Formats: sequence, structure tokens, C-alpha cells
Amino acid sequence: MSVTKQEIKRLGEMIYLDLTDGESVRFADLLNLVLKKADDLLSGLKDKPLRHISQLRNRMREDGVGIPLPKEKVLANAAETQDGCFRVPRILED
Amino acid sequence: MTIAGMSVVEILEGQQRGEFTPEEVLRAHLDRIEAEDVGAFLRLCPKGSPGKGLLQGVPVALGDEVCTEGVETTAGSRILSGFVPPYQATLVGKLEGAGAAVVGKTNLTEFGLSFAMEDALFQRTQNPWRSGTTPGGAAGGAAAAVAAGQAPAAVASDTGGDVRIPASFCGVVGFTPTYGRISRYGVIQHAPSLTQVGLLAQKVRDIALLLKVLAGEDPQDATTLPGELPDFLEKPGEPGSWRIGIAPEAYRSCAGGDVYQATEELWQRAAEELGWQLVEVDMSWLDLAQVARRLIAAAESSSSLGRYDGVRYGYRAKDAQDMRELFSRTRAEGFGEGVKGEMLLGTYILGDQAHYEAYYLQALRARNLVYKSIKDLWQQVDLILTPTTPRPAGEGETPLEIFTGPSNLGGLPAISLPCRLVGGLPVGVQLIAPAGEEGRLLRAAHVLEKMIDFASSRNGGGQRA
Amino acid sequence: MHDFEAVIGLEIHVELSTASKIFCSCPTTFGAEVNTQCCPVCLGLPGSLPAMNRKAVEYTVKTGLALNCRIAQHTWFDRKNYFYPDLPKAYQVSQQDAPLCTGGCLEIPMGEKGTKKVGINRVHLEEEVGKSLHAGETIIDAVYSLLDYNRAGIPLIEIVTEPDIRSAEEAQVFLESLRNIVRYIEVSDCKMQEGSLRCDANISLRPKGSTVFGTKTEIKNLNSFRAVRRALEYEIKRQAGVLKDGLAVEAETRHWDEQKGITIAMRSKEHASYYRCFADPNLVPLDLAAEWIGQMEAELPELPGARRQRFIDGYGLPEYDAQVLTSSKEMADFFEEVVKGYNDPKTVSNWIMTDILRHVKDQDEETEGIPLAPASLVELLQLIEQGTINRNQAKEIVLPEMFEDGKSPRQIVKEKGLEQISDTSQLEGVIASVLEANPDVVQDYLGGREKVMGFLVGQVLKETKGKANPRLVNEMIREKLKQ
Repeated sequence: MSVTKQEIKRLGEMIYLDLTDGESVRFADLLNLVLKKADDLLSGLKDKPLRHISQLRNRMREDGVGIPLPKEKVLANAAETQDGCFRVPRILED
Repeated sequence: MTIAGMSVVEILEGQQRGEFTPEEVLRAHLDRIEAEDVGAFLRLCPKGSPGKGLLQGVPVALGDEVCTEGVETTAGSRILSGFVPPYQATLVGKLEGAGAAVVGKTNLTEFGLSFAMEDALFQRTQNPWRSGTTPGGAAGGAAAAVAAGQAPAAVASDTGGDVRIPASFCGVVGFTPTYGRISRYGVIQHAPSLTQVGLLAQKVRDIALLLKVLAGEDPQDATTLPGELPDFLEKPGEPGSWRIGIAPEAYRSCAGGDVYQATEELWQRAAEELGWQLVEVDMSWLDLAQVARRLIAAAESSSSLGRYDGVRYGYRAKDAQDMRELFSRTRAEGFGEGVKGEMLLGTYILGDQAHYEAYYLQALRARNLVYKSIKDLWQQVDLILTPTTPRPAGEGETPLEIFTGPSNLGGLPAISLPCRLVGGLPVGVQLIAPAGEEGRLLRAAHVLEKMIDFASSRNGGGQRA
Repeated sequence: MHDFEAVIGLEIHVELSTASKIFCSCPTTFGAEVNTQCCPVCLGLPGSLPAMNRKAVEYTVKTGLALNCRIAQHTWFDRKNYFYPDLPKAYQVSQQDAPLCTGGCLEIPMGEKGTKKVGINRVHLEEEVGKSLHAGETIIDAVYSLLDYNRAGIPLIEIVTEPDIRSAEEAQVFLESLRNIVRYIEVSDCKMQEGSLRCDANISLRPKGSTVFGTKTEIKNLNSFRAVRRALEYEIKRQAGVLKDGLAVEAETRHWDEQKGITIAMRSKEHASYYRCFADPNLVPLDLAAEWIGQMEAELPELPGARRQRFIDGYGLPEYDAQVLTSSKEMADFFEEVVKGYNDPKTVSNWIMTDILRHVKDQDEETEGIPLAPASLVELLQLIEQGTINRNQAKEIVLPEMFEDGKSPRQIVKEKGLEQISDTSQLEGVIASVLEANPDVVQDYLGGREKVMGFLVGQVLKETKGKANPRLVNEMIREKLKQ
């Protein structure tokens, strides 16, 4: 099983990342290299998956209200704003 | 001795004796930064006179992944260029509360995803030991700053050796505490399950002091450890007869001959001079740990870096006609090649059920295997000793994080001490301790540091040219 | 239509009414100025981390308990990864693999058909996304959108039913019952208009008697109970038409168009992205000790089902009354408060179910509370009993005023001069003149036609402009004609 250039493009679409042909080829090679190593070393392991490295449990805060950021600070880093909101181009594609 | 180049403890003692003021200390370091340009800092942000406290007047460098309110924070990525956080990391508040002076933000590889400092995007950072040589990464800027005497201490994150690898290459002390010991709130991360906030300094005692200031529960980081802080280095230096785990066979197959030899000589000396008891242990899982750690980091990165879409902050592609174009081009133009590759790898292994099971879930199984294997070792040994890096700064086949990654997989505290020079460049030795045992780790490291006496060691003199 | 059976499952999202958001202390107030309830955490700023709101967890568990679910002993939170401008971190913290509550059921009343059990697959906790405001009529012809993140990070629960629902009516009743329960336990205000209760429906058809599922569609944008019912009725017809033509139903998401009364295909399900879920390392797992769960269970109020039964057993109400009265917590509370002051449950029930409900329904559909103090209804009922006013006056004149002005019944009676004349000396003259003016009727009465009494009393009431106490008049005439 080998990752193809087309598959890389599809992965790129999943995470909204435009890729050139050259990149797709290079990344296919990269993935194949790492996955080959993973196939060799990891397949067949039966240990329980370790989902959380923290041994802590039930860390929760009480339901108290604090002070939000001032609106100017909320918007300060945005490339484009309008009427106190973040502005983006049309959400649906043509 | 000039102020720039002193250790944290030396600076504090000097101030106490009235030899110099906090302002003079800060000035001396800023002068050094200007005088010796190793490309360690992305930007400087010296503030006025710091307050009183444990670290009064001690300049500290921060990796640029640490959010500083009102000061640009990029995590080494174009996609965050121009981002000025409206808030600060918990650790910044703690440092300033202890009287430390944040001098500036240091260079790192993009989001700390590569251990090869050559991959850094904004500027080239030099290894202060030899110009034109890599300082190692991801926290190459932080290590270079400490090695060049531009800051006596630095704070940067570590997901697989990012602090210890450059510490090894640059001849300084690099330390990562137990997972959750220092708050990650406000530290930009790509793989939070692996991220430990690390410290760099010249001496183990400096590390203990910094840790004392930075450790502790933070309501804003659910993974921070609650309860009383252990005694990190209160009783310094009594040479305990520690049982030390070593895996000569595994080390020989992973590390270069010179590095292996340096490490072997060191543990033999430690056995003779310190009475440390050597116990050979099995670490046949090093390769497996390496690939598992990489897969986990890639998977988490593909998720953690999704937020960079040009809407709320950071880089934004020009003139996009719709949302897909805005996102796709912003991310294509904003991320560097290395980060793209890891995100695609992560997307692949999470991207459908079969890949999830074959790779991501297997990596979690491997993580457990490593976790349990190391946990079992604590029956036989008190500490594990390994080379920090398979080689000094320079090219090589073996992944740089081969020895440092396992402690991140296990959430364990680890420290790299300068060991000796190999071909004129420093290499480190690493000690790993059980979770929560930073005290044991630092006490042993302190003893070992004294024994090595790197600064005036017989191995060609541990002094920068 | 009789050839097919509908198989319907609902996915309901409910915003929890915590004071602060799920992972930060930003307030959750509805309708605040845009982007004024945001902080580094809910904006997903680089480096920020979540801090779990205990109440959000407790509210989820309480909902699960009220829906007869099993509560997980060990659970954690996953990242559900997808891209959309209203999702600040490009992942939603949710629960994919280990929901807090599973395997419950809700019994819903189906009128004469008795009750029906609908299985609850899961109840899990997640975070709300921000809001996109589209410039233009709809999202489709908007040239740009504006993002407001005030809503981002409000705790949200997702309730998923088993595909046990068989008709649009059942779906509506289920949703009403569910909302009633959630409001009973006070974990959400469940306002569909404000979006704090939202519903998507999965629906497929299959030949009656078949046990295999057909291809389903998912219907979105169901913003009211009426919409749920209408959309499902429409979709059942549409799918039946497709199937009868020998065609296949497309697996797709369809949008309910309220104006046109139709569902419209949005996007094909195959293209729906895989969410790349994995455990969020920034939140530690939850271990729910039996003790903690027990404590939450103890905090639950009496639920509608139990209360209905108690109304039947304790107050001797007919089942129908009990059902209506307990269909909202506010109404049931109101009933019980009134009965405390006026101990005639059936009379109180009649008043609430007819006259009071009529007034409430005339108002906003979403208003659940009864805008009357229980004490004022008690007072009204006492005025009738004491003979100060009669039932008609109470219903036609006093009650509307009470809703209108919030004045007390006594005050209204006084202002309108409605007090009944119960003074016999005042009534004697009127009665005498009525009897005198109607000798034929009097004769009829004396001849044994007691029914005509009503006419005589009516005449007295007419003369007194309705103020005479009819019971007293009746007694007085009887007494007089005995002589």
C-alpha cells in the first residue's frame, strides 16, 4: 500500500491546504517513508492504547463568570472586520 | 568575570553582594546580544526595572511560542507573523512575579515541529560553539542565547527533545519536568499530549530555581499537577548511591561511536567516583518509540494547527473569493514545507477508520508499551542515563530525538547536561527520572555536573572558543 | 402512503443554561453586542487551553438521568476536526467514543393510544460554535459573512434518539416531551426561537412489516415544533413518491424551507467529511464516582411522569387533567401553589385548563410561564365561593383584567363595582316587584313547574344588572313563595 500524489491532494483538501504537484510528490514520498517504518515497527502491537498521558481526573472549574476581552482586543488581530465582526468572503463556493 | 555569561545563581549572588544592579545585569546581556549576533532572538522586548523575588533581576529568554501580551508571538511561523497576543502565558506572569526580566523571544523551527534548526524560517541561528553549525532545535534560539551568555536562562517547550537536543549541541543544561509540572497555558503547541515546558540554563541549580518559580497548578491548564511542590534541590549534592539504568547495546546501535564512548566513560566514572550502581536494562523499544512519537505529534498537529485560517489572527491570503479559497491559500502560503508534511501525515493517519487503526491507534499502543516498559524499569533503577543526542551538531542518519522522545511519550522529567566535546563540539548526557521525581533528578544531575566539571574539563576544555 | 412505514430518529442540540461558557468564564447571555463575550479560550487563540465547567458536566448527567440513561463511569472528550469560519479552533470538543450518557428512553404520551417508548442512544457534552451572519438573503447568495463568537463555547448537549419514531406527530410529541423534561430539570431554557433547542431529523421509509432500514435523509433547519412536524410530513410524502416511482431515495442532507413548505437537497452525504476524531489531550478524563452521580440524582426534581401520576393519585384528577397540567413545569407548579390556597383540585384544574390556558395561548407561543401569581387565582376562586362575584363575572370581566393589568381580583371587583348584592333587605324589594310583574310564572311554579325558578332568578339578576347573588335570590324566592 503506497500513498499516491492524488491521495496527498485529497488530504490537502481535507485540511484546506492547496498543494502544488511538486509538493504532492514530495509529501507522498515522505508519508510512504514514515508509514513503512510504522508498518515495520508498530503492526501487531496489542497493548491498550494510551489515550491520556496525564494521570489526573475530574479537573473542573466552578461555573463563575469573569470579564471577557474588550471588543477591540478581540478584533485587534483580524485581517478584516466589519460592524464589530470578523469578515470572511462568501462561505459557499460557486 | 563579565556579567553576561554568569549563571542565574551567580547573578543573584552578585546582586546580593551589591556588585551590580538588575539594570546593569540587563544592560550587560543586551550588550552581549548586540555584540555577538548568533541569531538567537527573533525580537527583543526588555522592560523596565523588574520587581523583587526569587529571580530578581535575572534576564530570561522566551521561546517565541510563549505568548507575551502586547509583544508579537509567531511560534516561528509566517502564518502567525504579526500576531500580537492580547494575553500572556501563565509562565510569563510567574517569571515577572518573581522579578525576572523577559529580554526577548528566541527563534525556533516552525511551531517547533522540526528538531533540525536549519529548518527555521525567519532567520538562521548559529551554534555559538562554531559559526555555521546548527544549534539544534526546535528551541535552537533559546539554547544559543544561553550558550552565548545573552541570557542566563530560557524557557521553551519540548515535545520530543526540543530543549534537550539544542542544550546538548550548545553545551548548556536543558531540562523538561514531569508532564503538567509547568503550565502550558499560553504556550503555542502543536502536540499538547507531548508538550512539557522546558528550561535552559548553564547550571543545574539555576534550573531548580527556575522550576521552583514556574512549577505549580494552574486553573487554566487542566493537566497541571496539583498539590505541594516537591523539594527540587533543597538538599543539594549529597552523592546518593543511585541505581542507574543503562542500555549499552541500544545506545551503541543508535549513537555515533564518539558519543557512545563519551557516555560510557561517563557512567564508568560515575560508578567509580560517585558510587553509582549501574544496571543494564532493555531499551529495545527506542525505534518503536521514535516512530510512535512522530505519528502522535503529526496527528495532533493536523488538528492543533487547523485554527490558522486567516479569519481571526495571523496571515491571510489576499483577495480570496470564497471561504475555501481563503482557507486553502492562507494555509498554503502561511505554512512552511515541514509543517505541511507533518499535517498531511497526521491527516492521513486520522483520516479514515483503517488508517486510524493501523497507525494512530497503533501509535497509542506503542506509547503504552513504552510507558509501561519504563515504569517497570523503576523497579530496578532510580534513574536512566542515556546520551542526549546520537551525535554532536551535524549530519547523521539517526533521528535526533531517538533518546529524548521517550520521556515525552511517558510524561517523565529529564535533563541534559553538557558531557564533553566531540570533535570540538559539545554533546550532552541525559538523565530520566520517574514522574514527579524532579527532586531526585536534579540532585543526581547536580552531583554529576560537578563530577563532569564541563567548564574546565580535561577533554579539551569545555569553554567556547 | 399506507404501504410505507416511516423510521425517524432525532438529533437534538440543547444549549445548557450555565452562567459561563464550557471552557472559560465568558458569560453566555443571549443577545449581547457582537464579540463582547469572548476571550482567548473561546476565540481559540494560539496557546489557550480549556478549563471544564463542572456545571456543564452535571447538567449533562442530569439530563441523562432524567432520560433513564446509563452514566459512564469513565469518559473523556474528543476533538472533532472540521473547518468552518464559526469554529475557532477548527475542531469542536465533543464526545465521540465515550459519551457521558447512553442507552436511555423517554416515554411519550400518545393520547388514546397510551404511551410510547422512544430509545435514547446517547447524550453527550460538546461546545457550541460561533454565529455567521450572512450578507444577503441566504447563505447561498451572500457575498460575504460576518462572524460573531459570543455563542462559541456555550456548553451544548447532543441528544440522539434511536430510530424508534414512526410518524411526524410522534416526532413532535417526543420533542415537546423532551423539552418539558429538560426544562423541568432546569438545565436549559430550550427556546427554539433563540436556538437554544435545535433539532435535526433522520428519516427513511420502508415497506410496512419490513425490519430492514431504507435509505435515510437528514433534515436540517427545523426551528419550531411545527416545522418538525410539517417537514417530516412533507418528507414522508416525498420519499413515498420517490419509492412508488420505483426510484431510490438519495442519502443526503435536506434543508427545510419554512416558507415554501418543502425540503431541499443540500449536499450529498458521501461528501460529508470524516471528522478525524481523537482524544483531546488538553482535557483530562472524567471518572464519575457512584457517589457523585447519586448526588446529582438526588438533586433532580420530580419528573413529569412521576408528577402526572401523583396528580392523579394525590389530587384525584382525571388522567387528562394531570397530563395537561404537568406538560410544563411552570403550569404544574402554578397548579400546586393554587391548590395550597384553595383546596379544590378539580375546580383549580378546570380553571387552569380552560380559561387560563386560553389566555396564555393568546400570548407568545414560547412563553411557558403563567403570568399570574398563584395567590391571585386563589383570591378569585374565594371571591366566587364567598358569593362576592359569580363565575361568569369572574371569567368574562375579572380574569382578563388580571392578565392585562396584574391587579388583584379584589381590586378589580371593587373598581368595576361588581360586588354581588347579598344584602337581603336590598333584594327584597326587587324580588317583590319581579313576582308581581310575573303572576303567570309564579302560578306555574306553585303548580309544580320548579324549572321556571331560573327565569325568575334571571329577572332579578337583570334588574340588579347582574350584581345579585343568584344563590341567595333563589333561596329568597323559594322562601317567599312558600308563604
